[in-house]
Amino acid sequence: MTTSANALSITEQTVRELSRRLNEPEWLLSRRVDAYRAFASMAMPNPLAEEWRRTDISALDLEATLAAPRDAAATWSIGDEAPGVYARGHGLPDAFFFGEVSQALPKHEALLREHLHSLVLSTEWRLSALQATLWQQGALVYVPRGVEVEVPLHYLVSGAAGPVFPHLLIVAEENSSVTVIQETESPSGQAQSLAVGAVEIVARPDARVRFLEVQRWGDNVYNFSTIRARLDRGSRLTAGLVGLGSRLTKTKLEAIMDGDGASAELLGLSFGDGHQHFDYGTLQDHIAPRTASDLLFKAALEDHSSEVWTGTVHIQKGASLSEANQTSRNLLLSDHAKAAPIPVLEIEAYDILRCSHGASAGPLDEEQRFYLESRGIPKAEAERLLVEAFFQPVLDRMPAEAIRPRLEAALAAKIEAGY
Amino acid sequence: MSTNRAVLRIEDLHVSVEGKEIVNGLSLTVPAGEVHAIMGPNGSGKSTLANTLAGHPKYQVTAGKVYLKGEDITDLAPDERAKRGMFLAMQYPTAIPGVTMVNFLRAALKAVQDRDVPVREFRQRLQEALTLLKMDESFARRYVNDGFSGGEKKRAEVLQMSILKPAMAVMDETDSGLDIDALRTVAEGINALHTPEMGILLITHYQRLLNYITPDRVHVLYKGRIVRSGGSELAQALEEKGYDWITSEIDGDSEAVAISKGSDA
Ligand SMILES: Nc1ncnc2c1ncn2[C@@H]1O[C@H](COP(=O)(O)OP(=O)(O)O)[C@@H](O)[C@H]1O
Ligand SMILES: [Mg+2]
Repeated sequence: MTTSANALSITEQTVRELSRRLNEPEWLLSRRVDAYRAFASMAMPNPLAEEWRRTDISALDLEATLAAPRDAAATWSIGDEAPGVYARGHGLPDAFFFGEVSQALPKHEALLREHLHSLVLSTEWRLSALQATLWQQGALVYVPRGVEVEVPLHYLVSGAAGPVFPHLLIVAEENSSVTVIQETESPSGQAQSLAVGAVEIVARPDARVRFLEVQRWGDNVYNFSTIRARLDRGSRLTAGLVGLGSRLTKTKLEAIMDGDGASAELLGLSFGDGHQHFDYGTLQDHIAPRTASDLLFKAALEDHSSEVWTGTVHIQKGASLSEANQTSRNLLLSDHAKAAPIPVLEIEAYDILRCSHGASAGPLDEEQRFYLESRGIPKAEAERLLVEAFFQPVLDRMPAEAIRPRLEAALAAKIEAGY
Repeated sequence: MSTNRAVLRIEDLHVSVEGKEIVNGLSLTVPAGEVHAIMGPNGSGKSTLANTLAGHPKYQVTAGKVYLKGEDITDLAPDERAKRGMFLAMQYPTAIPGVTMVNFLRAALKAVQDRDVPVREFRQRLQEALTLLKMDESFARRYVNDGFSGGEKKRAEVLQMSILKPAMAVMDETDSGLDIDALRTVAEGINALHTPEMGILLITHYQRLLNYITPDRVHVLYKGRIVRSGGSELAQALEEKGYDWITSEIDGDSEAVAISKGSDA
């Protein structure tokens, strides 16, 4: 636990070199250096702490994963256009931006300075400090006031052998609308690898943001990420997480509704096999009045895979007339698979509209399987159809139209491999 | 009738559910081209027999054999039975939200025929079946049995039968929950599907369906065994007199004992 920072292959010097190479302004350099110092001074989390009791990262060899070359690549594309470092055209005004953060610096420096790591802080825990130190090839989405972006924006991060630290910042100004799809992928391999990412979403009044993450890291990757959105008055967020890859994933998805009438729809779909472990921590944080949130997370678990979902609904004192729902459904496809859905309700307002929650974990329905089999459909195919059917309602609600066939194929391939 | 012309042959079948024997010593043969009806009061074991024939894992065969076209299928998995031509139209079809009828039917047809069925051919079959059963095309896009009315569920069972064209169809109260028009449509559908190679076992407890489909044989099931068999006139007699005249004969002895005990007291 007390690996000294010096034993690691990064030093303050490497951080300074990275920032210089990226031509970053002084404030960004000093943020990286501060984050590095935080990283160097922090210990890894106590495995007995509540948040880490069900997610064991003792096998993660941080030193080894950081020693590997940082060979990840990213692309930014808009609609079905060929990827580039930033997007233009599509009748979008000049003030609109989607592309690599370093490309945005000349024009959007003030914006970046205000928002980068303002929602996901470098001090949250040791690896968020690491992410804030080493993040690269990040993406900025800036949607000016009143602009509705019809085509989805695509941020693809491809890892190779080395560690990868993606960052996505979305700022949607008043009454704007945008869909952003983040895909992560890397080849499976023998040696452990590491991914630590952050997604920050700032939705100004009445903005509509749809975000989808498709996580397909290789089966050797320890993946940690935090996705946090601050939702201003009347804004609406739909955030979907599709978890297919990685050896272990620990992801936080949080919607902070601090504007009157803001709403959030949080969706999760994961399929685990082998020894995969998923840990999702969600937060529906109702601060302002008349805020509404709805969460649906579904997991299907094969082999020895496992999932923990800890879903907190926090309705704060001022959040009168708010409404929160959450549902977690877990399909256990083997006797060894485990699911631990843990709802946490903290209700401090006394005049809420509604708060409901439900969680379940169990095997496939025997009668449904018999029905399919009695029509000649073999057992494995019947189970596959039922797993796909199980995911259908959550898939239908995700902002996935643009990549739907590809997503369904990836899901089907993964389910098929399990049988 | 020679045994090899039998589509279905059941020999001294005993079935238990959760340790309780429900079917005890049932034998029955359905020759090719014939329709047999099984009638009997509620709880007599009709659905247990039907589910057992389809291979439902909940029903344990503790003794006896089931042959389909001469082959012993007693221990086969449900999908293997279906591939050999067994079909069960269920009394309470299961809803499967998330699986569309069209995807389900394609998967089933592919499985029972053991070949990739070209889209055109499949569509044609589906269209014919929908027309036969007077069902709307939109039906195919709905999720399997999800939100179906009682009557729609029963039609959907016959629709599947018409697409899969089984050698042996066991129809468990396919007539219940149907209004008179739907009953006629379904009955006409079944008649149209009935080929000289095929056997049909109609489970019902009304005479209603038998006004449209004339059974070659009628069997009365009571307390897990066949207590009487006859021609279609037996169904007529049951319609007029109910089951009591048969069941009291069976229960007669034990009731007599109970009465004599009562008079002793
Ligand atoms: N799945 C089951 N679990 C427990 N008991 C059952 C089950 N299926 C049938 N039974 C029992 O078996 C008996 C016969 O039921 P069933 O076969 O459904 O009769 P029928 O179809 O003739 O009305 C009844 O006593 C019923 O309670
Ligand atoms: Mg019954």
